[in-house]
Amino acid sequence: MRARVGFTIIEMIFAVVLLAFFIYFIANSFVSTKKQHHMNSEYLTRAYIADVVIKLIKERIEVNPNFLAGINNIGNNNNLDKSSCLVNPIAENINFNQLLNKPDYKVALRDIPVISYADADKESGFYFGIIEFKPENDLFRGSESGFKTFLNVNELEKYSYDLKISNDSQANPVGLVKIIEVTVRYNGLNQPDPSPFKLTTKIVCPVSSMSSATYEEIQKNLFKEIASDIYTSIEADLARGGFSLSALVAGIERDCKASTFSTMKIVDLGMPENAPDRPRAEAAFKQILVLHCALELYQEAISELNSELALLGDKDDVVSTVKVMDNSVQKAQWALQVLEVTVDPIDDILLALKPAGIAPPSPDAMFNYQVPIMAMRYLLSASENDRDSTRISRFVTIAESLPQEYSQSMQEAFTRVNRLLQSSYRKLTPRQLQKYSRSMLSFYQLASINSSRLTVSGPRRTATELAQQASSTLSLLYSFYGENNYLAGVEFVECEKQKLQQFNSISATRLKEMIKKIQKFNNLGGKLNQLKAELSKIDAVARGAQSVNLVSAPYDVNMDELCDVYLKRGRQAVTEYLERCRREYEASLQN
Amino acid sequence: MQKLSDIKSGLNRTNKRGMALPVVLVLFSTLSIGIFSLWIITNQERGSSKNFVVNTKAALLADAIHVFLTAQAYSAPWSERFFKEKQRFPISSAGTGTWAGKLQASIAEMYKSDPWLAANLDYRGDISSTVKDDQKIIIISVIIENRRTGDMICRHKYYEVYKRDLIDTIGEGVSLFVDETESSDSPSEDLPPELSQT
Repeated sequence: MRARVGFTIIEMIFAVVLLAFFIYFIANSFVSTKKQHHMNSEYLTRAYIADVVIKLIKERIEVNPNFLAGINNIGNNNNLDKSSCLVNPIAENINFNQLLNKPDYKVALRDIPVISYADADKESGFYFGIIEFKPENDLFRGSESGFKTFLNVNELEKYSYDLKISNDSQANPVGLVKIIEVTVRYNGLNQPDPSPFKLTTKIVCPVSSMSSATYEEIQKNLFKEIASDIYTSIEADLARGGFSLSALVAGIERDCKASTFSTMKIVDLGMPENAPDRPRAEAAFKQILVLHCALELYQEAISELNSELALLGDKDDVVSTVKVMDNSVQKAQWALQVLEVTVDPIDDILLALKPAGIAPPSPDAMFNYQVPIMAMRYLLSASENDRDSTRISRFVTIAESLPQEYSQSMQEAFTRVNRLLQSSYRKLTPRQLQKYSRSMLSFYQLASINSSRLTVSGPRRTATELAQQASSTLSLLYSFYGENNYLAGVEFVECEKQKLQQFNSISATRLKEMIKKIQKFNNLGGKLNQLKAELSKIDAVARGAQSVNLVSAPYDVNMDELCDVYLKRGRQAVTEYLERCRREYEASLQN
Repeated sequence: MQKLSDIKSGLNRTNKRGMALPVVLVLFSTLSIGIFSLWIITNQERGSSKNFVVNTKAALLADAIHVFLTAQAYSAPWSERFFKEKQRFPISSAGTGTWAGKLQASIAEMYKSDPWLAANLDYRGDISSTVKDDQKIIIISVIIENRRTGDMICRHKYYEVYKRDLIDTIGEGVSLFVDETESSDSPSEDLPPELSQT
């Protein structure tokens, strides 16, 4: 019997059906997997683009802190060239004062192409609407090789994104926090992208792009704290010396009693009728001590910082420049802080020097001079740190050095960093260049702000001279960035050059709080001299060299004589003495 | 009795007939393995794409919280700061005018703008302060979690040196960021060396 080989027809049909089913299943799986892969790829590309845009914008703001203010300006312009609007937003002449005074902020740009070309040859154009590429730019040279291939340019041409930047209305001060929202769309379909990808975050607005109102609010908050560090140092200094305010007052009381002048001999806060004078004396001496400690601490700190500065020499290297910058900032900081804690106490001391309740003339009127006399005795005695000078004279000398120290420190910092930039800008890293050029501009602002109102003795450079030096450094940086096609850097320098030219008008509104502080430097000297004059007057009264015109009693009284009468013959004799003065005065009128 | 040759031919026939199914099955298995591998790879690719998106969005949310709280720190003088004691967020009963209420409203705006965030991410953390060598330091810790599973996506710690006055304001601020996501230890209370050595 011969064996039957091959398949039966049923087997064949079964196998074909099974195979067809398998092929259909496999093909279907393959197609859906491929589709999923494409969807993933597009989704991921959208995500990458959004991430890159956020990073580029953050980086751009880092390089040019004026960028946010600039695109706000562009954002209000209806005729936008979307392909290049973010590339160089502030290149044209712009009124920065007007720009920075805008309190509202809203930028909304739609459909910025991820890649756009400025010419038909596709030789130049923009990536992400942010980075400009040109044939002469080495980084982007080469048609399909290198960077373009790396970016998969052909695929990226199909994407675009929307950019929204606005103030976070919940954050205080409004304008300090900006919301950035990027929505990426794929435009390779015949219909609008059904699943655009969105990324959103917040950033802190740099000072250079902040509206003046927001900046002023921040400054006010920061200035409320300016004195606290000095007060802490004063308290620590006093605590170290085991200091007691009542012991100091008692010591001065004893010192007055030991004097040869009767006006001082009668100082006695222990008398029941002088009870209100003790808290008054303690309050006055508290302020005197604040003044004393603040100025002495300042003097000590400045001496130390000057010694450090002397050791640094006149080198132009990065390390020395950073140290000088730090040293100068500390000195200027001290000057500002000490200024803050000395102006108000002087007002209080001047008030305490006015003999309260002197009228009507009575035997007790003379006691009203006790607090002023005690204050005078302390302030006119020899300084512990300079035996040739009285305390008040030393205070005046130190206080007069404050504006000079502030101004010179800022000028020193400016000069050093400016010199470093001019001599070594080609050697510095991009980050160092950014950091030091910003520091230089900050020092310029602080050194030249309101400088005409600063009464500084000795040679002082004018704001114009500083501006010229800053401008020449910016020109060097401009050429350097230009040569290297570092366009964000060029944009930063362009903005800063314009701001430099407009500095006087910008600073008047922009740095209002700082100007108010600086103006106090001038008041300080005047107030201390007024204090000195008041003390001399009290000294003359105490020594009997000058008679006092009592309130509601037009005749003059010699306090030393009056106190002498009191000490020798008691209160009744004082009444008689005052009555005699009155009669003499009336008689003089009749004559 | 069956002849040996008949038995052999019978076996032969059975063998030849039985080849169709194994051939189809082998072919199917090979293709299935191929497709399955492709599916696995695509799925992994999808997973890594999803991870990239989740991590990116989570990191930006953490940055946004940090930025908001830093701004709040400058909305009042240092002595009146709301984080003298360590403050945790979010606070469920936060009033509208309070810092916590404002933070929640601000993040709610982000959630509204990107509903994916609202559906997938939760945040928590704390803000505190310390003074080291006369430097006032703001410490903000943010943890972003998966809303559905509760798994931690990222843990970032930010250190900001508070500016004292205008000289500091005009100059450059000091800011440090530490990504503690991969750290298995509990959050450290120590300052990073960059700040503790100053």
